[in-house]
Order: sequence, then C-alpha cells, then structure tokens
Amino acid sequence: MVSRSIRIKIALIVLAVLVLFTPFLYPSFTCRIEKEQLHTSVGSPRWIVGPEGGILTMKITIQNAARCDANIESLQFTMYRLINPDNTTEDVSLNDTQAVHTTIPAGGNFTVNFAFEQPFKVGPRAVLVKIAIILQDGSSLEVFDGAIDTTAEQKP
Amino acid sequence: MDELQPGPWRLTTPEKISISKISKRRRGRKAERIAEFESAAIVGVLLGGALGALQIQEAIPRWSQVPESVFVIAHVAAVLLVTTALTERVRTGLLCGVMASISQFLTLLGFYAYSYGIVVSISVIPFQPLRILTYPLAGVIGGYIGQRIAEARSGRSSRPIRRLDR
Repeated sequence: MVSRSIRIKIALIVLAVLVLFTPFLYPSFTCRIEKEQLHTSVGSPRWIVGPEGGILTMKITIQNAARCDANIESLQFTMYRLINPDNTTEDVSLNDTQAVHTTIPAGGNFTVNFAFEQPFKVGPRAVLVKIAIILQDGSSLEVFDGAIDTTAEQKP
Repeated sequence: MDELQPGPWRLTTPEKISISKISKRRRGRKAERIAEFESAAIVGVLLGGALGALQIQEAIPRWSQVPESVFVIAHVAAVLLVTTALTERVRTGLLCGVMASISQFLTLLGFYAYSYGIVVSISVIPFQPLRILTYPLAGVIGGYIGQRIAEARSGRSSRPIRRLDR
C-alpha cells in the first residue's frame, strides 16, 4: 500500500513532467497559416543584362491575410516553362532559393526584390513559375503558380 | 495564587538522559540533514540536466514559433513542482533550484561547445540569466510548500517554540 505522502509526491512529479511537455503541444493549439492566406503577387519584372546573359529580376509582394504572424525563412522559386519570343515553349526545371528571414505581421505585407540567379542567353517572353514560401517551422506553402510576362515593364 | 496543600508527597525522579544519548540524537539529526541536502543537490543536478536537454529541443524549427516565455514558465513551474515533491525545507529547495540552474547552464554550455565550438557556446551565456535567476526562487517557494505539506502531514511545526517564561 502506497502512503498518502508518496502518492502526493508522485502526482506532483507527473504534473511537473506534463507541464514540461506542454510547450511542445503549443503549435497544435496556435493559429496555422494556410497557403490561401498568403496572397502573393509578382511585379516589375526586369532584365539585367550582363556579360553572361540576362538575369530576370522582379518584386514579390506577400500579403498576410492570416490572423497570426507569418515567420518566413526563404522563398523557393521554380521555373518550369519558358515561352520564347517566337511563341515556342521549352520545359525546364530551374530552381532558386532566396533567404528572407522575416516576420510578416497579421494583416501586413512584405515586398522583396528577387533575382533569378541563372542568366539567360536569350530572354524568354514569359516564364511559368511556382513560388513556395518556406516557413520557420520548416513547412512549405506553394503560394504562386502562374505566368510572369518578362516584357511587361518595357511595354508602355 | 493557590497555596500548596500539605500532604503526602510522592517524589519522582526525572528521566535520566545520558549525554552520549543526546549527542547520538544530534549526530543522527545532522546526518539526516546532510542526507537531505545531498538528495536535494542530486535532484537539482538531474532536473537541470533534463531541463537543459529540453531547452536544446527548443532550437528545432518546429518549436521555434513557440514564444520563449512559454518554455521559461513551464520550466519554472516544473522546478517548483519537483522541489515541492522532493524537498521539505526552504534551504533544500533553494539548493535544488541553484543546482538545477547550474546544471542546466553547464548542459547547454557543453552541448554548444561540443556542437559549434567554445566561441558559440560562450555567446549563449548572456541569454541565460532569466532562467538562472528564477529557478532558485522557484526552489525556495517549492521548499516552503513542501515544508508546509510535511508539517501538515506530521502535525509538527518546524518553527522554534518561543519561551514565554522570559
């Protein structure tokens, strides 16, 4: 038969263990950001021409429509199709990642200048890209899948 | 005052307690106290080591969104509960809290020194004072509660009995 004092001690220690592990359950109780809540737009596409070819740059704006802050680690940019000036298409698989390390407050927005590091000998007229946001907790949200008209900035 | 009534008096001899018996009792109490302090120190070291190991887990990206204050509160509460359960004096509670602080600090220092080098491990030091200061306090409170629980259980008071005849 276990005495009352031993039972109290065991209960207190079990409680202490539970309390210690409570913070690890915290993420499941807190607000989770869905990809629909991060509205992403791409603007100002521009070519920077160097000796090795043209580098595509753009401004990526992310608006956080979630009720909690979004802790962003990096942006993953995947280019999967090129549309050339003669309207021919070319399937590619080009990836680039840019570290961001920022927090977008709930309801706030954030703009980042993005440069796709790989130069093009002949600049495509448009590119089809996927943009994924890597959050600080390691999860990835694909927030953009569409075409970017690379000549939009030059048009009047 | 009532006057003493004359009558047959039965004299009783006071209980004889030899000096060696008293010193034996004293030695017994002293050994008991030393054992209490030793066990409090061991509990503190183990607790601090466990808390240090848990603090290392906090750096994993999955838990990075958890505010640090939540971890600090949980750790302090755990120290309070463990000292309440395993100590029965304010002093032993304090010792347990202090040892937990030192042990956690050394665990972290050892981990960072082993993984990233001594320079990085030293740079961690300024971020530790909050926890280091709160554990001894939690230990004191836990020790006090443990003392009160022990007193309530045994029906004794650890407070010295004040002499009223002075």
